[in-house]
Amino acid sequence: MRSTKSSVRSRIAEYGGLLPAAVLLGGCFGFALVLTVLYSFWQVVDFEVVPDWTLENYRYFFTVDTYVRTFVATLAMVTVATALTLAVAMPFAYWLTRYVSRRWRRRLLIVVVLPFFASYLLRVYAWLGILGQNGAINRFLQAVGVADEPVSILLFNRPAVVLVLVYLYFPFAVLALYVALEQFDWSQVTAAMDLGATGRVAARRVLLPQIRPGIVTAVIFVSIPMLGEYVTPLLVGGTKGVMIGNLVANFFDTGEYSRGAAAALLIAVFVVAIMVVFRRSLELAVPDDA
Amino acid sequence: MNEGAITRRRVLQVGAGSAMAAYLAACGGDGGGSADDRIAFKTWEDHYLPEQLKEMRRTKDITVKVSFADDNLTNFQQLKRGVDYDVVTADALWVPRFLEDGLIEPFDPAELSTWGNLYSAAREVPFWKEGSLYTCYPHAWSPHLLYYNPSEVRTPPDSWEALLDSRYRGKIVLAKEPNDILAKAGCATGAAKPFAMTDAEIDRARDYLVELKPNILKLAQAGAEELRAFSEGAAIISTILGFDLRIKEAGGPEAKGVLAKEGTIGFADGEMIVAASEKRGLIERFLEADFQPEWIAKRFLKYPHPMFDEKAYKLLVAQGHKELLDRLLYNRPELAFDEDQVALVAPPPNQSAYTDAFNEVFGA
Repeated sequence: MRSTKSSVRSRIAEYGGLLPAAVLLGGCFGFALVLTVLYSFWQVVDFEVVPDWTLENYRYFFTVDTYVRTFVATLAMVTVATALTLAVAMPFAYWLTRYVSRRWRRRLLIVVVLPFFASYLLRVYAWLGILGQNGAINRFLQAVGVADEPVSILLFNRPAVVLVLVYLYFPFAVLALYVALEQFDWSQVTAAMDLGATGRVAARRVLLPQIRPGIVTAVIFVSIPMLGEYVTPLLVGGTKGVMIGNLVANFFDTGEYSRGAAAALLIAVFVVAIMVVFRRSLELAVPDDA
Repeated sequence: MNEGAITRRRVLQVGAGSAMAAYLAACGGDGGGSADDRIAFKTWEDHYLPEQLKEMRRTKDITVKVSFADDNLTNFQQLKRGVDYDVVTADALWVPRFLEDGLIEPFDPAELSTWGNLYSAAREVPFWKEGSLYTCYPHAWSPHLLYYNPSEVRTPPDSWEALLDSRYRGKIVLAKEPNDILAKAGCATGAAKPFAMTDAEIDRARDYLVELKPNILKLAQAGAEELRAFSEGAAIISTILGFDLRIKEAGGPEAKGVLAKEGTIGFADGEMIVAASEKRGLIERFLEADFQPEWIAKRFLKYPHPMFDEKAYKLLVAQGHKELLDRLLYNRPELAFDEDQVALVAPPPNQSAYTDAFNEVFGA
């Protein structure tokens, strides 16, 4: 009897830690997801969602080329922004793990995450002050005589959106890559080079395969939130830098919840597809016996 | 057991306690007045002054809890869900929509001592009347003008058609309001009712916007973005309400406003009494206190757009503000209800067609 009781208690203790997350994710995220799925198959009549089943919300997106075009443009921007983010984050994380003392590493990592202490909106707004016609870059260009008048191509276009996205998501990439590089045993590279491998070959055949889970994590942390971005393109993209998230937001702003839900789910399905593609790489990071 | 050690039970207790404390803090009250003598007022920012509410509490014993309104649709949906407000603000033709759904209750204007202060045009609005009763207390109105920077734009763009000029490429900034933008395009293309366009009219409006799009620098979510773009010279034309005064206040370049020849859209708003509220007597006392001409005059000076109160107009004229008042059309309240010139904000009967058209134009 006693042992049954203690077994139940031990079971409760075992799963106790899961409870808050399960309530939060199951109750909030799960409920919201179910509601979104239902909404996407229902209709909005007179500003109210009514449970009249339809596939029209999905059909609509495949019949109007604006959405496909905007989605493709969004993917292109996200791909470029992710590649640039990693291109900047990787050398930085490498430098941090290889050439900086442990004491200074922590300080520098705090500097990397420092922007998180300011609001997201504020960080994006700050770029209006940097890229704007009276912004820091234009003032500099005029001061050094490169431009006679303010350059207008810095803001309200796709490159501006990509630049701000790189800035916003750089810390996520650095943290993921830093963890991977810090755990890597650098003597393996030395051994490979002792055995005749060039630096490039050692990096490609020894380093990269072992930090691949870190790279994949960085790509996921960076690219997936970017896919749903709508504030950054709204503030710095102008009419040329629109992303799919902006069109989804317009549906919700005008009470077209069913269309908005269908669009959001189509994006979510795409994200899940990316995750499936990356699953193998992530599985390598956590072997079954770990 | 080590006294300093953290047990699992302790962690769970602290976690649960903290979560409950955070939840209770988030649900906390506003710390003023009991629910019985308090008016829950859902409105726009320019419909009250904090000092006025303090005064109201001190002298009339009326406590007002203000919640900012996002838009008409949100207010409408919140009331439908039963959110507990006593007085809610709405625009023009949204008011009959609230009434139709039984969300508001008309009142007898004869019972309000301040009613006679209104311009007669505001007291005889057909879509705000319900027999001898009224459905909202008229507050303010304004047409959407076309504002331009006269040092950059030599010929005033006095029509929507003029905005298509290639000289304005990337120089126009509009507020990101899908229905308003479609309705303005409707004005440009001769739609009979810009907020209730037929499919053919929406197609024409969409074509106009496709042509206009290269000239639009950005759709601004907040007025500050338009002010910044205009101040920096990135934009030279805007349609934000009261833009000339706001840009002046922000230290930007001069902006002049013109009414578009084809007509424009506009707002005309007022306060409505929520049907579910059981504080009818208190609400009427609140409305009388809220619509005192002295306070309306002060609100005008802080948020300058035409009000419907004639007595406040006379008060402001006496204070030397006639030029500003007349420039903003405060003295022409009948214009607000002139359908040939101003299409008042309304809930489109075919909202999805409006949103689809907007997205199809402003997508990539």
